[in-house]
Amino acid sequence: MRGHAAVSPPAVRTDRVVPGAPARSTVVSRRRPHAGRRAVGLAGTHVAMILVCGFALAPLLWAISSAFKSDSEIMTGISLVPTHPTLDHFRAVIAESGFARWFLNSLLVSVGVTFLSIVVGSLAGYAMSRWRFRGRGLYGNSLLAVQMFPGVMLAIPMYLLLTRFGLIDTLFALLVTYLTFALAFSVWMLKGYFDGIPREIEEAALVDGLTRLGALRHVILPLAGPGIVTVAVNAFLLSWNEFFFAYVFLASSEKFTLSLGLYSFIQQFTTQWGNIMSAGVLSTIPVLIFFFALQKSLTRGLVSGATKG
Amino acid sequence: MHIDNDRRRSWNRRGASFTLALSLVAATAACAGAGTGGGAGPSGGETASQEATSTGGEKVVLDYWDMQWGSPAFMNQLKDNVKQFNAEHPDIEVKFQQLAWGDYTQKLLSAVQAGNPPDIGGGDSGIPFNMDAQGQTLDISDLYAEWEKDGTFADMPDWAHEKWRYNGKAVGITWQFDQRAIFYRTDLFEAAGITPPTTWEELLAAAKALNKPDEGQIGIAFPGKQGSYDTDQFYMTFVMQAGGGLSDIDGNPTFDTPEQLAALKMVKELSQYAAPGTPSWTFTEVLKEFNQGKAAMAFGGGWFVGDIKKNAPQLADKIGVLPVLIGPGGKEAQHCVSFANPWMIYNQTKHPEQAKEFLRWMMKKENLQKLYASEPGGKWPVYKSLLDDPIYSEDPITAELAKQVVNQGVDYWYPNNAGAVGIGSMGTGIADIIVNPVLSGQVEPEAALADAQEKLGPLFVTEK
Amino acid sequence: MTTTTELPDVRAARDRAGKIALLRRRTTAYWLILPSVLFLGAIVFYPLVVGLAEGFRNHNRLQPWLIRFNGIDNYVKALGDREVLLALRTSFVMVIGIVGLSYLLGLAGALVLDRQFRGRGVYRALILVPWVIPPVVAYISWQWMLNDQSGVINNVLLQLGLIDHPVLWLADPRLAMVSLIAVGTWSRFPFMTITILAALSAIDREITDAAAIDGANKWQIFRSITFPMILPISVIGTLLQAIWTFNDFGLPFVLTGGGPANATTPLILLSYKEAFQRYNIGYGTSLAIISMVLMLGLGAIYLRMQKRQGVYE
Repeated sequence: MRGHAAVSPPAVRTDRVVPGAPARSTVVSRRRPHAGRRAVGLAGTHVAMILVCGFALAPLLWAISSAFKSDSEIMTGISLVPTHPTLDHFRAVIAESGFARWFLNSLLVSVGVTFLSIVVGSLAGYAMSRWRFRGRGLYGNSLLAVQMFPGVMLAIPMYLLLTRFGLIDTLFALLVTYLTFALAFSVWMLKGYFDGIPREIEEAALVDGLTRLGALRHVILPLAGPGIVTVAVNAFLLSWNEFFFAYVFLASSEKFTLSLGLYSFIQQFTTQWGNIMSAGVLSTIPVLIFFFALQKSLTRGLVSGATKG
Repeated sequence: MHIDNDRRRSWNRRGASFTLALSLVAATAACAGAGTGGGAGPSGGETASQEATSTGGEKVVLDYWDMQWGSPAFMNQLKDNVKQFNAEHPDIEVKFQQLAWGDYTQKLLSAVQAGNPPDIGGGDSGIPFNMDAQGQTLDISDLYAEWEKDGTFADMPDWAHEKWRYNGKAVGITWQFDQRAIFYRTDLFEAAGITPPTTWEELLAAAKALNKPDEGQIGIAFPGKQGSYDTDQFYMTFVMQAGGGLSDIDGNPTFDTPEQLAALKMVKELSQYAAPGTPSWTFTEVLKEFNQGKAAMAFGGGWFVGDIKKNAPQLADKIGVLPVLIGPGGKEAQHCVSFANPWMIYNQTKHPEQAKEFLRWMMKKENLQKLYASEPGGKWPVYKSLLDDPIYSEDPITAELAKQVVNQGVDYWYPNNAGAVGIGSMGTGIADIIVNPVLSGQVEPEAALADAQEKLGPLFVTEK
Repeated sequence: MTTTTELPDVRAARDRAGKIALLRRRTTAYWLILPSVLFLGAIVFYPLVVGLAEGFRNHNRLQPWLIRFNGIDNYVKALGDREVLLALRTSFVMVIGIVGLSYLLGLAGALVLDRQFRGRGVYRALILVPWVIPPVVAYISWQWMLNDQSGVINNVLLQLGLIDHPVLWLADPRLAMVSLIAVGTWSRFPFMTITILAALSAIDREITDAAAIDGANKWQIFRSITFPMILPISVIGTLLQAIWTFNDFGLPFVLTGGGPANATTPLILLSYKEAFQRYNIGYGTSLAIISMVLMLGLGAIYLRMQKRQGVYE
């Protein structure tokens, strides 16, 4: 690391720029006099974040509140806090509906899609970033162009195609479909992230004896931690919450994903509001907890970088 | 280490094989992790035929698809009925598959196109017509002849079976009715000294008198949201009572007619005594308002009764059902909206006789009775004799609703099902083009109906 | 790992030669993009071609006897239809509103969350809620909260005395649009936050800190250093988000049904209704293709505007 920044401003040397490695320690000490302003800034930060999170949470809070209310109170009551909280809906959802099965199916598909988007996306993103090959522009644009055609229009031709190959009513069909739709973001995001990682780093790795793919795996990817997390979150949530293709492709109730399962609470006239809300809450909270854990671990550990001496 | 040509080539080969291998591994992993392999879809028809021909007398497998018509209790009873049929018929196995309420028609159409529709299917009250227009229904006139002879039809309102005579065939059979009616608060009416209305004029007067927005009370609550099927049902009630319908005897659309205009104007007038937010309301909002005691009248259906009893028990003994109103169409047109929900057999079935056996069995009074009983007040019987059954006669409101359904209920395909193709393909056209724009004050009634005639008209074309 | 005792400049020359050789190995690149191309080809290509072909046919699924090729009739009809032009305008308003607002909110959130402070992780997780929550639950909840008579928003506003009669959030044509944009922003800003956050975390603190020491204030740092560095990902993020929003019929469909009186019917919803509710696959697809062509054109312009910013470097 550089020494204390005394009088002259530290020169920005691009060959030593490593993403994400903070070099604050010495600089902070010069900011002591503004401690008071920082405290106000910190309070302001919290207030702002609380407001934003309040906005983000509002419907979930309403859903949680409804999940604990009796059906009667859901229809007639207007307060946020249930007057007689009940666990009936949770019990009905967990014990009497196919919730566990739906959860498992969604998990299988979403994890599969996430893993594959990272793999396929980083391979392609790496290619886009490090090579100027013929068709590169076409490829990149095609990824975007494919997104432009509304997915719902593809549903019927895909149904016919999948039926012909006997792949209708399989989770595999969903998996490859979601993967395809997740690719555009995965490839472009990782390309953008790789662009920001200087080539010198992998050249150094290659010189050190790693293969190209080894360099990708051991050196580049760890540095692209936040990019990968973003791609993973996007791919996972795309699959977790997708409804339309799941509805078109799946038929047997034991293959239902969560989104289809939630819809099954919508009957012809009435909807089991309490059940749909509690199932919704049960679908949301575990994912949130998982992402919370994921973010903390990934962005901290891997970003300390691979500084070359 | 320095870079040389050998290394370069090996990287390339390695890179290539690595990528390929990775894709294959991923694909296989996905397959394995996907639970079941491919081909587990509804292919009952094919397997059944193979079984039947290879080992004559082996089990025939039938696919029966139906929607989520009711509560889990109801659906469980439906599945139980299927199981019982299977138990009583060892040479037939019926597999039940549930369809969700989004786009089931598209799914059926796709299945038909892909060559694997179910053998027997349920659907909304228009599907058999649309399927028949494409030559996909099996004519069950022979079943009709049976039912004529053994008195089954005598026990049904005529319309329940006459509706399905189409293109010289019998394309389906009704197994349950839906019901729409106007509920009212007996206590509020009494307090205001108003008798329950029996005509359009009286309805308007009552709604006006009971509409007290400052006290948080609205005169009448009804749905008006765009894109919602709930909206058109309120309107169609008045269309029928005005003596009108959706098509004439030749199957031409009849939007731009005096009857529909009268109905539309009536709805617009009533909206003055409804919540200002009606253009965004569905049955859910109406029911909520009624449950919270804030509406003097509410347009809804049979499920309202059960809901109020459960969610607003303090109101349960203060509600009543308005009689079917008399409008400009007079007593001959004294109708309420009541959808006749059918079962049909698909033409592509490889086992028509067994499918008909299933249909025959499912239509038996004692078997349908079990379904109705699983959700009292949710499903309305096709058999008049069941009106005496306690589940319908015990509760006065249920009894009144049941009577209305059986005696005065009709749906959009009455009296002229010649326009069935168009009626079944409008989607939420009535709500979107006619009712909602008028309710939100954006379009005048005459213009809305002219618009509907122009936009929805082409859907009624049946010339080949 | 063997080390040689070559002279530095010889080693440098060798390294350079090696790098050039690696760059020339374009076939490696093709192998790397092969898996994604396979998926695209197998899954999307055939249905896409079939789907596109529908746009040139008169095809109503419930009137199959009328199916025939009709060239560009669908397009002529669409471009002359008042309803279609209104839907186009609605689409634009929606997309610009939602993407713009969600980007701004996302940017602000990301800038705040990029700093180290206690509790940051909790906020980062909570901000994901609109993205994680199942859409059906979110839409039902919003619908209930926005209801004029029984919704909690009106109830609170009435109690606080901020309004004296219920606001028609979903029943007034203009307010319905506002509500739609608000809910759309709500659901899409977490994506922006996370994407920009990832980009921000790649910026070396040394640079910004150095600039701060140099006397630059926060706005100058942002404008000259931070923003240019997150621009490539911002461009792609907003472009993709615009495409997704343009093609999202679920939100208007559930929240307002497209109403009142078509006030909130974007082109995609019109296309969906035609294809799936009126079974007019031919016409519905042609509307989808019109929207796709529009997006292609506008997307190309948008990217060209940003070309200098290194999106394609």
